[in-house]
Amino acid sequence: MSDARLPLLDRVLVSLLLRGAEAEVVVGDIVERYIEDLAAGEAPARARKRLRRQVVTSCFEWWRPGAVGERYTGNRGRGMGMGTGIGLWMRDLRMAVRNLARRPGFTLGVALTLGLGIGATATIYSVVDGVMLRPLAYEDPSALVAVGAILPTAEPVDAETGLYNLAPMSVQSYRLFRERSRSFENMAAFEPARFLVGDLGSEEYVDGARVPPELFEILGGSPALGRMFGGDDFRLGDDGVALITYGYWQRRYGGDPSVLGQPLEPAGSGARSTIVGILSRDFRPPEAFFPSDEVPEIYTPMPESEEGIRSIRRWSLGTLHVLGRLNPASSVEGARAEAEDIAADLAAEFPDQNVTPDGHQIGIGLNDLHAQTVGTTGRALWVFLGSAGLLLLLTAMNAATLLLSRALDRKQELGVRMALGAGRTRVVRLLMGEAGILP
Amino acid sequence: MDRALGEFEQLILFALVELEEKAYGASIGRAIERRTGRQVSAGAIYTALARLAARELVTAEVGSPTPERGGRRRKYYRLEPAGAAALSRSVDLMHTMSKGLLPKLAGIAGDEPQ
Repeated sequence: MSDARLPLLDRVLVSLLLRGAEAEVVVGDIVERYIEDLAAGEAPARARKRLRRQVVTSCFEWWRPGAVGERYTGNRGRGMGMGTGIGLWMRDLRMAVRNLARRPGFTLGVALTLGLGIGATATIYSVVDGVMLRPLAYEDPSALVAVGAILPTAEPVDAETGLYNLAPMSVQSYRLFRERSRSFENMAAFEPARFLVGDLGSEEYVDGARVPPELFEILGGSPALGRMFGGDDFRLGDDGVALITYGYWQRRYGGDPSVLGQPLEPAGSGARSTIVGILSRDFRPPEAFFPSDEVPEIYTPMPESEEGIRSIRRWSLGTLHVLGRLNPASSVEGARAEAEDIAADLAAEFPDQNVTPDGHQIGIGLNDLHAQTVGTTGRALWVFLGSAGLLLLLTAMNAATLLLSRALDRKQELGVRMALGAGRTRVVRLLMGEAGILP
Repeated sequence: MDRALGEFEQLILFALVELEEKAYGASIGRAIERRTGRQVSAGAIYTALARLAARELVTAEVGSPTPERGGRRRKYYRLEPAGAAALSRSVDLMHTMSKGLLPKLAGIAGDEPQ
């Protein structure tokens, strides 16, 4: 009858904590209740949860200090009031602590060595986990790509990462590309900008970006306070509204909610933006497009007017970072091929903007956003993690050697203990206690 | 020597009274749960029973293996006369002490904002 068996974890717990005849009857009761619960129509998950609780509480109840059980009177008692089970463990543990305290140099050495190894590994791993293993914190991040111009002045593909070296796009190519491409569900072009923030005397320059409505559609974004941009905001242009990130709000304004409706820039600086919203704490800016110390903290609406185009005549004057979300049906490779075709068409139709004076064509390329975010740091991180793992191994070996040499020193002590009647398990327990406490 | 019975011990002894010779861990737990709505762990029941057995208020007897619990044996407990006496003493004690005080108690409890 397979129902009558406990799940593995419970069986392990029981066998560790309950012993002998007691275990049989206690476990029998728990199993009986479990089967009855199931027979009474209880949901299996609930019944299992209850079973687990019964096992855990029963095991701990059994060992609770003062819960005088038959274990003290049964035939397994060891005489001389030594007790068994947890009481003895505690005694050994205490002795282990005393033994270690008696040799502080040795203890400190081993603890430091192990601490160093474990600490280094954990630190590196947390970085690797954050950067490499967790996908971008956006909805369906695998469909996100970075789009950009491939300039003939740079190597098109980075030899180490296999990523395109993308440059910002010009307004014109972005608009044409967007019109012609069929691979994308949504696309957003935004422009880095610096804002002068604060009152005169305490003003500072802060990195930000002018963004179109699509950016928050792609990345997701909700206000922690206030509102997001609305349709009118994009008509008004710069002299309008601004969103600030949660982090900047905390840092600069101390989380004061009264900043809503306040001007962003110093009075008399010419520009006039009003803070209308604080982005929620979990909003992640598109970090892949910015150096790590220039990630935008202030967002203003990108004007939809044509004015911006006027200043952009030369081929190299791209200012737009482009973030795209691919159609579910499109792949990065397919979108790349399409982008190459479009770039060739644009070069033929608008050679002034898309072909350099010496006859090189500007291409359009795209990268998987996660790959671009990780960039060249990826391989370095794995190497780091590998070396941290080796370090941990080394420290563990080091500690093992120290413990071993110590054990040789203690031959006499252990001999005396055994002569006085300490059993093999008792000695093993003592040594295990010491080894267990060290880390 | 004659230590008073704890609340939980009283519950268990009453369960033994109810169950007579069918009292073992699971059935005791069920009886307490049915009457009081309180969930108790098997371990708690057995430690309490072990305490009671050490004071010779109950005796235990291991039954034969039962198929419905995977061939594990049950341990049946029986209330001894000494246990019955101790239980009724402890209940009497409560009755005597609480005589005439319950209405007043209810009044105080009622005043207390919960």
